[in-house]
This record gives sequence, structure tokens and C-alpha cells, in this order.
Amino acid sequence: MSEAQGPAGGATRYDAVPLSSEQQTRFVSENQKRIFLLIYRIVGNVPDAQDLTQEAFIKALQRQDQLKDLEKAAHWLSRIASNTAIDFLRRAGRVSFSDIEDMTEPPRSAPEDSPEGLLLRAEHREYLNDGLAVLTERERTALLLRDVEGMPAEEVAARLNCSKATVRSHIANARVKFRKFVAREGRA
Amino acid sequence: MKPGIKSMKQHIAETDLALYVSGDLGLFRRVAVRFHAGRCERCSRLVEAYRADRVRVKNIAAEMPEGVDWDRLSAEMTANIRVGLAAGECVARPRQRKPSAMKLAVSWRPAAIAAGAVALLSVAWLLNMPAGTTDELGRALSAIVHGRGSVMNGVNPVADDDRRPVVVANQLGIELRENNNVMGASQDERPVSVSLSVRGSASARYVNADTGQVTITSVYVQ
Repeated sequence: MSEAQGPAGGATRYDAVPLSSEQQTRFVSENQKRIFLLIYRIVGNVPDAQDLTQEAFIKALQRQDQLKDLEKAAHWLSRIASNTAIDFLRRAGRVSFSDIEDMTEPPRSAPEDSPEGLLLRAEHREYLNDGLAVLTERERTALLLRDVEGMPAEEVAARLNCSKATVRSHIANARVKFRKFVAREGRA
Repeated sequence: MKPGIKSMKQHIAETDLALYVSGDLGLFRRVAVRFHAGRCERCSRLVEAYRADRVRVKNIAAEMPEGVDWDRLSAEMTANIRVGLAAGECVARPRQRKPSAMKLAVSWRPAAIAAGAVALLSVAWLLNMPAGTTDELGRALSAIVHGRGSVMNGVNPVADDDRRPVVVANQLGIELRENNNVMGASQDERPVSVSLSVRGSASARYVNADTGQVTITSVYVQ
């Protein structure tokens, strides 16, 4: 077992895989909150976020031999987590990240646009009391990956399996909607 | 000019301002927005607002949802992750047999090559054998086959026109046959083992059930 504390007492850097049982526990505890919140913001409810967080950690620890650069373990874990959450949304049929150009109908600008969408989201969501609530799932996911996870637009596009232009459109729409929400709330 | 940047009086599209703050505009559009925002108070304020919004989004994303007892949730998730990993190991173990089967298959290759080499050497050795010895070997092998058949079928395995000496080893013991004459070298009991030499000799090993005495009978053909 070999490990070292990260800069400024941050996350532990691991020098070798597979991680020991103790290292795995530490790896989980150090990243659990961040990963849970990332998934939670994408899927929009605690029970699904809990299940998907567990799934993401199990996937990551089972595939730790695929981790080439141990210094990027946190980033690698984020990628697994966001993929897990996006796959979940796709499986649930709640969102399609297809290109805008391929859509026969224009994407809905907000979930409140249809009663079905409102009902579906009311069943699934329990938070969404902030500015992210006004975004569609694809807009929110693109914005979170870009602004919170700091991924370049190209990587977000790859993650969402759509073009960079589509991702930029999602990000721009998300920011404009968020801005209007903040202005309406009188926060800025 | 690109759409959205027509003049100082016509402001930049908000989507462009939104992308500008994270450097997601193309080079020319980025320069144009910077130029415009540097001279337009409204767009400049919006650029600052969008920058502040990025920080807001990060802060919101870091907030724990209301009503969540993180300590309890974390402990529950950690326990479930452990269970999931343990279950995964249980499932993975039987699957690990496949690679070992592949290794086994791979390890047979050298064995097959070695077997081929042995066969080749055996053929070469047989071809270099003296003709008489080869004939004797052939007869001895034939005798084994036919000798077993004769026990079962009661047919004399020795052909009438075969007048050369033949050593026959069967379940009854050893016999020397020549010119339709048979000289048996069998004991009262059946042999425990019978061995045959490619040089035309045969040996049978008998064990007396009462005394335990071992008798070895060997017949050589020259």
C-alpha cells in the first residue's frame, strides 16, 4: 500500500491499484458527498441519487485497474458518476441528448410546458427549489458538467453523445434561463 | 457582421454573452463581444451577471438538499457499496475460470507440438528399423489384436500360410506359433500382466493366489 496526502491536506493521492480495503473506504468517504451532489443535481431526487452514487462507486472500485493516472482518480470518478446518471436518465426515458438538428420537434424550453412533464417531474423531484429547477434535464446536465465539473464543451458533448454545437446551445439556454430566474427573484 | 452583433445600439444576444463568460465562443465572435461589451454598459453588466451566475451555480450544486441527514445517508451508502463490492466478487469468481481455461488451451499447444515431434521421430525410427524386425513387430501387434479376438470367438488367429514364428500374447498367456504348431507358455492361472517387446519377445507375469509366488515367463523369437 502506498499513498500520499494531496496538496494542502486535500484528497489522498493513491500511488498504486488495487486499493486496499482501508484505502477503498477512504476513497469513498473523501468523494462520496461530491459525487452524491453531482448525481443529485442531474437526476433531481435523493433516492435515485443514492442508488446511483452507490452504483458509481461500485463500478469505479471494480474497474480500478482501468485507472491509468492515479492523480486523476477524482476526475475519473466524476466521469463514471456523470455517465451513470446520464445513462439512468436515458434508461428512464426522461431525457434524450440527441442533437438539436435531429429533432423533429423543437425541444421544450421548460418542463412546465406540458402537464405530463409537470406531473412526471413532480413525482421525481423533491428539491428543485433553486434556479436549476427551471432548466430541462439536458440543460441542467450540460451546465453542471461545464460549470461545476469544469469540463470543456467538447468533453461534455462526448459525455452527452451529441455535437459540441448542441452542448453550447444547452449551456447558453441554461445560463439565460438561470439569469432570468435570478433577476426575477431579485437576487441580482 | 454576425447575427446578434449589428451595432452598438443593437445589443449582443444573451446566449452569446452567456457563452462568452466561459470562453465557449469562437475566436472572432469572442473578440467582437469583448469589443462591444467594452463600450456598452448594459452588455458589460450582463457579462458580469453571467460570471456571478457561474459562481452561484457552483454554490447551489454544493448545497445539500433540504431534509437530508447526510451522516445517516453516507453511512447507508458506504455499507451498501461494501455489500455491492462483496457481491461483485462472488459473481466474478466463477467467471474467472474462463481465463484459466484459455491458459490451459494455450498450454496444450507446446504439448501438441511435442507430441507431433515424438510421432515424427517414431516414424523415422520405424523406417530405419531392419526389415525383419519391422515384420516381427507387425506380427506381434497383429497377434495381440487377433489373439484377443480368438479368445472371444474361438477362431485360430494364425493363418495357414503363415509359417514364420509368431509370439502371441493374450489373456491366457504367451504362445509361440510356427508352422501351425503352438507352444504355450501359460500357467494355471491367468497372467497379471503381459508385456510385448518390439524386438519380438513377450513376457507374462503370474502371481499364485495361494502362495503369492511370482512367475515371469519370457519368450524370445530370433
